[in-house]
Amino acid sequence: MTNALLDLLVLAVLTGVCWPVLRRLRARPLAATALVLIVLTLVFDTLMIRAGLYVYDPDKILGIYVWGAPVEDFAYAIAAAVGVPVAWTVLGRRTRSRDEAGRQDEAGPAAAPATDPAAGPATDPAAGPATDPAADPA
Amino acid sequence: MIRFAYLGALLVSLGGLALIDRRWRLAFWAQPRRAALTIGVGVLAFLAWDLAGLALGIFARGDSPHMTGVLLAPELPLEEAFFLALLCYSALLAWRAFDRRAARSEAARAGRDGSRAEGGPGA
Repeated sequence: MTNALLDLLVLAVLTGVCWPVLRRLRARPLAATALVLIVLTLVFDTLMIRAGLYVYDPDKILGIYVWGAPVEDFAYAIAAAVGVPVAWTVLGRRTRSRDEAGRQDEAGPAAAPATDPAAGPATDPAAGPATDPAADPA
Repeated sequence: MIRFAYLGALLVSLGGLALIDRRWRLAFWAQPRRAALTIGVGVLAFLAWDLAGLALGIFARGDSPHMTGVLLAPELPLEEAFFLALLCYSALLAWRAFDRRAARSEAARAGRDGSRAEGGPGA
């Protein structure tokens, strides 16, 4: 089996398994995450292969490179952008209450990140589960 | 010392992500147990994918002097687990930040619409 085939198989199974949760998540943040990971893969995969950290059997890859990264390697970036948000969302149903018990006293104004100047205190949902898609009752 | 170059670079990178996480309370500094499980599940899944690739002879460990030589399985270096943790942690932080921003702008838009309705036209 070639790498392209393995990767397509993995992505197909992963997307199929994740789909019921994935379709309920916001699309743009997922796409932005995939883009960030693709750019990071482009840079760091190239460096890692140049450094000789791992080698490919030339007969098992397509031989199409984006800079120094075999095109198949971007499957890892896409899988991470799909699988990690879904895992976080699903695991929240089990772990949220326990985590929250431990951080009741942390959630003061200091917990509010100041990244977005447009989001004043009034619109800030206390930087907690209210911003979380998993907070929606299933 | 050069044997620790790759592992060291991975640990420094993970440390950098942890600083971002702490500053904006995105994952471990928001819900530690949930974050640990998410990264753990991700790393195990990616390791299984790696093992499939290795079993099929698609890739193999290079002859780089920058690795410790400690192996988790034949041809699977210890460093790979840290690399995969870095991949999953990057994904988690990026998505949490983007998604939080999207949620905020939705809330802000809803708030503006709400106050316009209350205040009437030209308020």
